[in-house]
Amino acid sequence: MNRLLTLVYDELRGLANARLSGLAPGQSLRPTDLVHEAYIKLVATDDRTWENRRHFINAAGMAMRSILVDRARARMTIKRGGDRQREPLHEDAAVFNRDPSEVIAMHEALEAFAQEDERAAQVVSLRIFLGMAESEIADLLGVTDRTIQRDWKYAKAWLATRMKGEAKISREMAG
Amino acid sequence: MPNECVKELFARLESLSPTERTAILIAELAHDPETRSRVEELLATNDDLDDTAFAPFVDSPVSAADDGESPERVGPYRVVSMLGRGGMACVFRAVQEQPFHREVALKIIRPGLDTRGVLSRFDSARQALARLEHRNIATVLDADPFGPSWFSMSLVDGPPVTDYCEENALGFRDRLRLFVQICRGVQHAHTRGVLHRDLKPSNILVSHEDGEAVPKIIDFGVAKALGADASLGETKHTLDTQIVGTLEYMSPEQARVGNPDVDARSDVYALGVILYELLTGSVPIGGDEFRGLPLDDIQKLIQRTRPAKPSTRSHIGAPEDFDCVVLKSIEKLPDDRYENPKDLADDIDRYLQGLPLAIRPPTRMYVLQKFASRNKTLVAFVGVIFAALVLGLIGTSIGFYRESQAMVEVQARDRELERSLTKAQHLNAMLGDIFFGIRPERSGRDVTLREAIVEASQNLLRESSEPDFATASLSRSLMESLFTLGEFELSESMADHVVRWAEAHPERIEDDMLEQGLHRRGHARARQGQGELAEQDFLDAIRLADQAVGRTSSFRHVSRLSLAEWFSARARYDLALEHQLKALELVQELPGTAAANEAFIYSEIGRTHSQLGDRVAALEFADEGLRLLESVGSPDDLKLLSMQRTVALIAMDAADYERAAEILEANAPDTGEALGPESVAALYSTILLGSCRARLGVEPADDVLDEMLQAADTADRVSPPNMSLFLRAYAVNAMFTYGRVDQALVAMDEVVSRGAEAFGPTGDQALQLRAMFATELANAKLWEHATPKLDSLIADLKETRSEDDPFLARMVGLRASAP
Repeated sequence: MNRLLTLVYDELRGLANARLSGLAPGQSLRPTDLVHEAYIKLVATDDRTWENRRHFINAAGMAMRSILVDRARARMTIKRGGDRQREPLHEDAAVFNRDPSEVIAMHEALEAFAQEDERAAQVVSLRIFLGMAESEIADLLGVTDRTIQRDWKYAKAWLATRMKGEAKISREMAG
Repeated sequence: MPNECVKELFARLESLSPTERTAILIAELAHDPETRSRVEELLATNDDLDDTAFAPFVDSPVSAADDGESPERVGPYRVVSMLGRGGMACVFRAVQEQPFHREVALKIIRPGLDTRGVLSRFDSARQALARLEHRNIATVLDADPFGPSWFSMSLVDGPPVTDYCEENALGFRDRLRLFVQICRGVQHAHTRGVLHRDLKPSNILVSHEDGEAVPKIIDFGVAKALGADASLGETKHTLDTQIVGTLEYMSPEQARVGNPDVDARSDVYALGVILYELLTGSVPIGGDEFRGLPLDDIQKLIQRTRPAKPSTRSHIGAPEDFDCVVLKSIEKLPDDRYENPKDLADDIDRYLQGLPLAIRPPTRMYVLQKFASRNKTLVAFVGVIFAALVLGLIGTSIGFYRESQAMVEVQARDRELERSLTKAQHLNAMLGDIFFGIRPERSGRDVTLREAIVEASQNLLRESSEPDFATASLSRSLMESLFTLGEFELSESMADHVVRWAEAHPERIEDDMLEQGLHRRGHARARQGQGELAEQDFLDAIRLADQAVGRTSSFRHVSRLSLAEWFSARARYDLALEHQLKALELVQELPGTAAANEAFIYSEIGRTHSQLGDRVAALEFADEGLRLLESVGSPDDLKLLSMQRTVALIAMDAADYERAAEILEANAPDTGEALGPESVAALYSTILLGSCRARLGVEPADDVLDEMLQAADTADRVSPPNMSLFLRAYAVNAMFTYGRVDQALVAMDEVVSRGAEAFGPTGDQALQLRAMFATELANAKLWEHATPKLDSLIADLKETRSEDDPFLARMVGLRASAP
C-alpha cells in the first residue's frame, strides 16, 4: 500500500501541477477524473479488478488530500509574506474556492476524527478532497448509500463541533 | 465512552424535535451525563450547520496546458507565442515564412496526451474544420502531413463576442445582428455534418473585416464529425465517464454522462445560452451557482432550474416580446427547442424586420401528447376538427379546379391552397404523433375519428379519380393516418394516388413525396398479404431515395427497414440483417438523427440476430438500443416501454432470465400505468415476468403462477385469441418449469384445442403454439410427451410448409435430439 501511495502521489502531483492551475472560470473537471486518468496510466493496463481500483482510489484520495494540504500550507506562508516571487497568489486561486486555512483546519480535524471513526472520516475525505458523489463512495467502500449518508451527517456534526472548538482556542490564544 | 453509542444516538435523534430528543436522552442516558452532553453538543452543531463548509474543496480545471516550453518550429511555422490552451491541444500564434509570410493560429496536440483516442479526436477536428468554408468560421489552412499532430487556422485577432459587445457598448439590435451571423456559421457546419459541441463565447471571436465586425467561430476541438466520410466513421470519441465541453453552455442531454445522443439541437442550446448572455450579461444557469458542487448536483441544477426571462435581467433593455425566442432555444428538451440554428436565426431576422415569429408556444405538442395518452375525448375532439377541415379543403380544392379557367387564377389559388394544405398537414402530423402515442391496442375506440377520416378519404377518391396537386397533397397526409388506423386498403389507394401524381409531375416535386408514396403503398400492400408488390415498392423507394440529388432522403433507411421486415416475415433473416445493418449505417451518417430511431434499428437488428440464432449478438444490439433510448426517454415513453420488452424477450431467448426479470419488474407496472393494467402490453409484460421468475425458481410458485393465470384470464376477456392464447401458453410453460407436469399437461391440451378452434387445425398460429409446447417439453426432457407431439407437428408442418422452411427444420432438429 505504501509503495502504491508513493507512486500515486508522484503521479498525481505531476498531474495536479500541470492541471490545477491557471484555469478559465467555468471549466471544471473533477479530481476523480484526474484520478481515473492517473489510474489508467499507472495501473489499469490490463488489470482492472475491483479490489485494485478500490485501493487505488483510496490511495488517490489520500494523495489528493496531501497535495491540497501542501498547497494550502504554501499559500499560508505566502500570505504571511513568504516567497511571493516564486508562487504568485492568483495561480492557486482556482484550486481552493475557500480560504486555505479552512483546508488545513479540515485536514487536521479529519486526522483526529479518523482515530474515532475511520470509515466516516474516509467518506468525508473522498467527498471533499476528491469531489466524489455519495453513491460513488458507497460503491467504493462496498456499503449502502444509507450508511454513507449516516456517516456523512455524523461526520459533519463531529468535525464542525471540533473546528468550532479549535477556532475558539486559537481566538483565545490570539486574544 | 463507546463512540458507536454516540453515533447511533445521533443518527436516531438527528431528525427529531427538541422535545422528543430530550425525552429519549433522559430516558436512556440519565446515568451517563458525559455521553448525553456530547450527543447534545453534536446535535446543536448539526442544527445550525453551515453546509457550505463541507462542499468539496476542489473545483479543479479541465486540463490547462502543460507548463512545458512551447515548441520553436512546427512544420513550416515558427511559433511566436501561446494563444490558448484547450483540453487536448494548445493554440499558438505562429508565422509562416515560406513560400510567403503570414501569421496563423497553430493548434498542436498536447505532448503526453497523444493517446490513440485523443489523436483520433484531434484528427476528426482537423478534418471537420477542413470541410468548412464560411465567413464566420475560422478557416483551416494546413495540416501535419505525417498524421494528426497539428493544423493551422487563419488567425483571428479579436475578443470573445461577449467582451466585444460590452467593450463597444452595442445595443440590443446590433447584438442580435452579430448573433445571427454566428448562427449562420454553425448552421453551415451542421449542413456539412459537423456539430460544434463546445460553443461558448471564448470560442467565438470578433474580428474586423473591411470595417465590419465579423464573428468567427474557432476551436472545433471537440466537434465530432457526423458525416459519411469513411475516415471519420466509427470512432466513438466521447468516453463514457468524460464530459466534453463547458457546463454552463452545455445542454442537459449533453451533460448527461454517457449520452451519445447529441444533435443539432444541443448546439442550439449553447447558442441560446450565448444569446442570453449577450442580452443580460450573465448565463441563465450556472456561474457561481456551480462553484464547489459535485457534477451530479450541477446536472440536477441544469435540469431543474427555469431561467429568468432575459428581459427582466437585461442590462441593454431587451424587450419582453423577444423572451420567447431566447427561452425556446434553451428549453430542457431538445424537441422543444428550435430544430436547428437556421430556424433560430430566421426567427431573429423576422423579429428584426418586425415580422411575426415562427415559433409557437414551446411545449404545446408535448403537453398535448401527454394529455392525449390519458384523455380519449380530447383526441376524438381534435380528430373531428381535423376531419371537418379536411372535408372543407377537399370541397374547396375540387371546386377551385373545376371552376378556374385562367392559368393565372389557378396559380394564385394554388398558392392559397398550399397554405391551407400546410395547415392541414401540420394538424395531421400532430394527429399522427398523438396516434403514435396512443396507438397500441386502443385505436379501436377512436370510432368517431376513424369514421371521419375514412369518410373524408373515400370522398376524396370518389370525387377525383385523376390526381391533381391538391388531392395528391391531401392523400399524402391521409395515407399515413389511414395506415395508423389500420385501414390498409384505403391507405394503399391514397398512396397510389400520390404515386401516380408524383410520377406524372416529376418537375414539381421538391421533396420525398414519391418515395413516401411508394413506401406507404408498399407497407399497406404488405399488410394485405401482397408481399411481392410490396417488395417492389420498397425497392423502388430505396432506389429513388438513394438517387435523390440535393437532399438526403430518410427513406434510404426507412424503406430498407421495411424491406427487412418483409424479409423477416418470410424467414429470410440473412437478407433482413443485411438491409438493417445498411439502414443503421445510413442513420448514423445522418446529422441530427433522433436517438429513438437509432435505438429502434438496434433492437430490430437484435431481433434478427436472435432469429438467426446468434444470441450474444442479439442481446448486445438490443441492449445498445435500450441504452440509447433510456438516455433520452422518459419512463412513461411508450417506445421505451416497448423496447424494454423487446430486450427482455431477447434476454430470455439468451437464457439471461435475471436481466430480463430486472427489466420487466419495472416494465410491467410502468406499462400498466401508461396504457392501463388491462392493456395487452401490460398483460404481456406481466406474463413474461412470471416466466422469468419461474425460470429463476422464485417461490412460492403458486403466487407466480396465479399472477400469470390471472393475466391470461384478463387477456381472454380483452384481446383476440392470437394474443390471449400465447399469453396463456407462457403460463403453461411456467408450470413445466416449476415441475408441475400434470397440471401443465392439462392446461396445455386446453390451449392447443382452443388454438385449433380459433386458427384452424393447421393454421399458422395453432402450429406455432404446438411448437412452443413441444420445445418446452423437449427442454424439460419430458420426451415421452415431447416425441409424439413433435411427430404430429412435423407431419402437419410438412403439409403446409416448404421443405427448407426454418421453422420445420428447427422442429426436425429438436426431434432428432430425442434419445
